[in-house]
Amino acid sequence: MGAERPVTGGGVTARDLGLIGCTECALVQAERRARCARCGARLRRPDRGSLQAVWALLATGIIAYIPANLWPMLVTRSFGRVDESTIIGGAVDLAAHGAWFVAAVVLIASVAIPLCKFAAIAWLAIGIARGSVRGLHGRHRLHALVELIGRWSMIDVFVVALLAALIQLGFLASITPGPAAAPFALSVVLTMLAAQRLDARLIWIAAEGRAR
Amino acid sequence: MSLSDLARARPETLIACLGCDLLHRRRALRPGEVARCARCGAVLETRKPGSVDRVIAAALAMVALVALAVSGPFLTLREMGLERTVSLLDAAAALGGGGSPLGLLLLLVIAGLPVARALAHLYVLAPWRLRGRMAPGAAAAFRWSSSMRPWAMAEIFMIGVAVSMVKIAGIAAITPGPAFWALGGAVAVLAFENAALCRETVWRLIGESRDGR
Repeated sequence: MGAERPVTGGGVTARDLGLIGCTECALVQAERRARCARCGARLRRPDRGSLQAVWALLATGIIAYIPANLWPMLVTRSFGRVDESTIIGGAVDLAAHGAWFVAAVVLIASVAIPLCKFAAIAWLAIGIARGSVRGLHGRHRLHALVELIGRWSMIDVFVVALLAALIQLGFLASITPGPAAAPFALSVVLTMLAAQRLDARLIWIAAEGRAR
Repeated sequence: MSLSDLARARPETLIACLGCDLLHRRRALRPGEVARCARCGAVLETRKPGSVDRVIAAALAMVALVALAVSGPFLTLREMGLERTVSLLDAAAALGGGGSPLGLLLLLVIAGLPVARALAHLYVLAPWRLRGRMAPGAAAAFRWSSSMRPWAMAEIFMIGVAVSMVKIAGIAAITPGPAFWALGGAVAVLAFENAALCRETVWRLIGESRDGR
């Protein structure tokens, strides 16, 4: 076993001893248990099989992201005129009005973060499947970053919901959520779940050639 | 640490890194100390001074602030002599007007979940703090609260509010009301609570309380 270890710096893992750390409360216990002896959570084994769920959630999230960008996110009616704007169109409008900073916030949260997240999750899953031994610390940090930042994509959904609630009849303009709001929210939720399902321990276990 | 050493150790004296699965021997931490994984650097356990008291205080503040944020006047819009003040409840009702679940979902992620998590923390920690033992179902309550953490989105909503205010500026004049500041305060309290809470410590307390120690 020692010969396989230089990559990851040696040391004994829970898997080596037939043990498992509960992902909820961190209690170390026999790997064959179904639920944690202390907190009752289902014990998540760091197995490659869990990548199936990651791929399924990620693929669905990417598919939902397509109509989310093609369809209008926001429908504005004023003086009998109907104005539909997509996510990117809305950000361009903001920039055209001189609100550069807010336009950048919207573009980063709704476009840059989701696209980077798709790429990051796919890259991490491929690295695990191939047992990649390079950049372990970097990939581990990337996973933590994706989990931390992914939820911030929800900003635009809240903007649409709030605008629709605030600008109602009684004003000269009215705003309603467009058909893109639901697929966009769905895409964010699905990729959040995909990142959660991706088990960071697999990055290390696969690098040791010990993933099951 | 050698394989034979660890293989002989009782599992409860070990701690497995949740980042990379490396085994470590558990040892008592000094106040303020953070134990990190020797290989990947992920936090194994922390010992935050006054953690339980701080989480209880933050949870109480959270419930009060969110109650205020939901019911009080959130934003006032003025346009050509028309004035409209909306609370978050009004906003949710307007969204749910056509029977859509959007309004309810909005209230859930910005107010419902943060309050429910705060109540769960009170349910777990207050009896331990006052009487030295856990309430029945404390483990389930704390597990639920941990799993809901990414879905409580009050802080993201506040950024959404800021973006909305810029977008609306062309249509109507907008001024924030007391509920706006209450929700801002709740977001700050939430950050404080997350910084004060050590999940591993709470689980250790739950485990010890169950074993009758």
